[in-house]
Amino acid sequence: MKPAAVPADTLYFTLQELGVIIVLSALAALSGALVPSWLFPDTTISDFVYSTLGLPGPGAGELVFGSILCFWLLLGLLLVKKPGTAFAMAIVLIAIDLMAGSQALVIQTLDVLLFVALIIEAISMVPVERGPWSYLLPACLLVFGITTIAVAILGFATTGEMDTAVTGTSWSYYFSGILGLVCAFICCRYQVRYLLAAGLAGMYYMLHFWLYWGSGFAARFPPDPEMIPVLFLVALLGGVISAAAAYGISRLLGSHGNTDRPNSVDQ
Amino acid sequence: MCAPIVLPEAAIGLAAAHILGVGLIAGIVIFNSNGVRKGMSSLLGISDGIGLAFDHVMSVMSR
Repeated sequence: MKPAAVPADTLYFTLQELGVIIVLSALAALSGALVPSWLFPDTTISDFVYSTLGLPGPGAGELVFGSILCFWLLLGLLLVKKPGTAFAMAIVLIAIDLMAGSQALVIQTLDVLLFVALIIEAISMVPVERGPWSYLLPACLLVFGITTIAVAILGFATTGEMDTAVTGTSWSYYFSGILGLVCAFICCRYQVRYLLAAGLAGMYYMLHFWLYWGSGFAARFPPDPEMIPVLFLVALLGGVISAAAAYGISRLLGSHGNTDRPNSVDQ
Repeated sequence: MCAPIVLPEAAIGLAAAHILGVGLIAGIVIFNSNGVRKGMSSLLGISDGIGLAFDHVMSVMSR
């Protein structure tokens, strides 16, 4: 059926939807700034992901920042249910950061917000039940999960930005790898496009960090190529978990329709 | 005789950031009007294809 034409004298987002966008963007800005300092009052994100979790670097902090960003953008998209919601939220988030944050930092980082929002918008429209899309997320989780476990078993596990070799059992690698395999099985059984959207957005966030946030192009790229799948797995897991949380909240609030019922691969 | 007012760099940056931030919010409010968007797309000559695709995606998402 041909969709009805939108009247020219109306608003795309209603005032209520604009309110939701502004409130969620403000919460995203607040949580991005305050949650890490509240969760880890005595340490930095780098110390937490490298020393406490034992993850490799650089870029493992994306697990915290990227997940928070994906969660709020996706929650806004699921609550408002209109294309452009995540992009509008990213613009409001940038505006809030510009007016309330540290401008020098924001100017460097604002572009990633727009790209992450665009990826979430685009992938959220993809029919994950069909074709190669249905295998993309489980395949990525499976490959990265197995690689991470293999890296740990073979004794190549490192931690920190300087790739310090892990002494003893690298529990974070085993945990991430097994969690990746479990998520691959779940995503194979229950295909939800928002999990794929946030996962890919998280991976892009990591890639963007490696390529553009150093002193030169690709200056922060992992020096050890074996750590690339491990870090991608961390980003993917952060995106998938944050998307699952946003999706669950939207379902609890009853704002989402029945278009994303779990579909079996066999079907 | 007018004396030049020299602003410190930090103040200029702060002012520019606030102007940019307010401009971004104003941009969202302006482009939230369907009339403005349709006018812009017809001005750019992309009114039909993009508009129809956008309406279709919107109808799919709101199901």
